[in-house]
Amino acid sequence: MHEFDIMHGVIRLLQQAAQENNIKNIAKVQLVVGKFAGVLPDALQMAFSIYKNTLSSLMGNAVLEITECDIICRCTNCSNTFSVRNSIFVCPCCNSTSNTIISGRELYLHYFEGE
Amino acid sequence: MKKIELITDLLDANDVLAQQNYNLFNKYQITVLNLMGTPGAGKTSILEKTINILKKDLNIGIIEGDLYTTKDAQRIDALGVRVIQINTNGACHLDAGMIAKACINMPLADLDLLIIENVGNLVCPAEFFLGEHYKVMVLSVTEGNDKPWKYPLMFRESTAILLNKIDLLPYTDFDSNQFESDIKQLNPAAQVFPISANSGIGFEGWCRWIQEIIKKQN
Repeated sequence: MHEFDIMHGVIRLLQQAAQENNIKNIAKVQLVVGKFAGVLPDALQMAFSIYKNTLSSLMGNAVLEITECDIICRCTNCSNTFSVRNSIFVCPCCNSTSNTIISGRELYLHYFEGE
Repeated sequence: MKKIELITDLLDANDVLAQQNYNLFNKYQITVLNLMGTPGAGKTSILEKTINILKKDLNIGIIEGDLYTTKDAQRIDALGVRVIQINTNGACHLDAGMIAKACINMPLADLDLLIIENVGNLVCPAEFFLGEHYKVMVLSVTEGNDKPWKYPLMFRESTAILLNKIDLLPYTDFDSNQFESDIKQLNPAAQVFPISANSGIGFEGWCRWIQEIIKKQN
């Protein structure tokens, strides 16, 4: 829902890091987005393409790659780790509903490539 | 081709400010709740009743969050507690920066309890840490019992879930058993408080919970 705000932050980070590393053209940007982060990859792509057009010399050829992380929980009862589907936070081993999320809330800029 | 690894959290700007808020609240030993829920669920009405019960024992401050108007702050002001209204002018949630700014005018040294009433919204507020100790959400029986699976992040993030307008249960098709079972699967640690801000049912348990978490913190 706040993908434009988030992308604005990404672009600022990229501009700064590109300048620090003497990169004039960015070829690829990699984001990691957890499936429980409340952020839509398609909306991020749309925001990226709009920002790209405003910074064509630095970003004109850039491709945005998004890695999505599954929701993974650790059961606090039996220590089993399991994937969560359809928001069912129940351990498939012991049926306990007591667990902590260990993956799925990520939202970070991993790396970018350019020259 | 150069590869530059950044691994930079994209909510960092908010989270850094939220952590600063959190540290400030701890410094002044204030317990902070982030109160969320749909528009019309009864957040402000619940706050009014809660304040009237607790204000003789606790120094309470309120931060109100709405897109526009000071209507809610005016209601709280009438109860004689310190309140600040944040108008987001279109943003659908409060963020840590807004809270930091509001706290400049809050008498933090005097407060035991600060409740932030977030913008009415079952989606975005759950995503933004404000520096609170607990997220509490309000759902009213008139909204239907199917909401937990539709808005899993909000229900999962909340330590307490206030099920409001419980006096209207006979006039709705809200399935309490199904709701309880769904919450047990989605967030088994959450405490559900069936209440009515209209009739006052359930406020004893809810206010006792607040007093216990304050005691635990101090």
